[in-house]
Amino acid sequence: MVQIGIFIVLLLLGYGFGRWTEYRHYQQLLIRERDSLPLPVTNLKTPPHGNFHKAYLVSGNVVVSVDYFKRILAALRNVFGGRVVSYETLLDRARREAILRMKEQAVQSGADMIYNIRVETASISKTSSRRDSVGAVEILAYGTALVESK
Amino acid sequence: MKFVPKPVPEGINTTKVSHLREFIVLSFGLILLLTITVILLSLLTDQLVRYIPVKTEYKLFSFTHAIARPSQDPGSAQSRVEQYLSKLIDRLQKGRQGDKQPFTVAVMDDPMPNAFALPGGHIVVTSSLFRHIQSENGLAMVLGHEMGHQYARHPLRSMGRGVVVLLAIAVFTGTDGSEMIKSMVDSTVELGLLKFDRDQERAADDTAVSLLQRVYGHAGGADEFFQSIQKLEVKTGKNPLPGFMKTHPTTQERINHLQAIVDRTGKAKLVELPDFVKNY
Repeated sequence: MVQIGIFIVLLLLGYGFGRWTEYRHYQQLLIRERDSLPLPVTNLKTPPHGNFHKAYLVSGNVVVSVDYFKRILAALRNVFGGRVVSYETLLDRARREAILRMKEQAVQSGADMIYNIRVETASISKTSSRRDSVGAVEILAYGTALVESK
Repeated sequence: MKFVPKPVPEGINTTKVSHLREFIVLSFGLILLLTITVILLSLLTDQLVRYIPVKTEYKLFSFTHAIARPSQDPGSAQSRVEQYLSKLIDRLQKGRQGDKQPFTVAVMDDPMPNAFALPGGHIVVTSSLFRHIQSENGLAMVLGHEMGHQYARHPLRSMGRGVVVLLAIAVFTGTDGSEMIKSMVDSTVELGLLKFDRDQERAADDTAVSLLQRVYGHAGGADEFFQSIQKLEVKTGKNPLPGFMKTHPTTQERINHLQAIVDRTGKAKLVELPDFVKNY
């Protein structure tokens, strides 16, 4: 009985906090993305034509973990198959946050554009030791920032 | 080529559904799935029980529950009788061809003369049974009868669907489930639900008789217990046997059946019961 109680409390806490932070994060993402929109970002392999005098690496990374509710929801999905919607928003937010951090770093250092951007994912979880250990995902966005000579 | 800043449209990489709704739908789906599984399992119980390996049965019912607890004090009179009974069971088992099974035996204080077999090879004998039996042969018949039930896995079959469902839960959740099973056995036995049908009783009788013949060379004493019960019936006007041994073949029918066998195989001298058993 106590275990069921703990389970439900964790579920409710996970749902409440998860929803609240997700909502706030999305609001914030929209504003920051709009602000950083003027910075050109491409995933072309070769540098564009132009008079650039400086090039350097910029990167942004994010490590995210799931809340209890999302994990249980994903586990339920494991039974039936289909879209794991609880992870979709999580990874969407993480990807956008990582790219934003990279762009913000580029803007701060006075870059005029970023080319050859790449996004990579690595999972950090102790799957070998215990099944229900906390899993986390790292998302890394990196690219080459260019500074135009004026 | 000119770079045109353009915001990425929202909601491309995410599905717009309520997580809460998804959670409710999925958990109800899972509950439904489990319910169907449990219902199917319980419908198939009788077919499935025979596939539960003997080893698994013994593991599941390895506990000695409240109703069948052998004495813990090796010096006590109860323990002495139990040791005698288990030696007798060992001797009977030597007469069996085919698979042997380990048995535990416990004596229970009860005014009803009775004996019953529980899943996991637990045989329980009530203390007043010894007053209704004159010879070791008669006692061997009762024990052999219960062993016969166990060999044919009647107790497990009688516990039926509960066991199959619990076993499934135990397998899926990874727990050994012995606590649940323990409480289930106790309540089943207390309610007297562990009953065997006519054919099962007859099969157990036949097994017991064949064990008697192998060990003693004759089936004499096989009807002793039932004769004694019948006298009690005549005296009190009703069948004194509760639940477990209250049999579908009436006592008279069983006596006739057993006597026919005894007459056919011939009767020799019966072995005396030791005094400490008789006076227990």
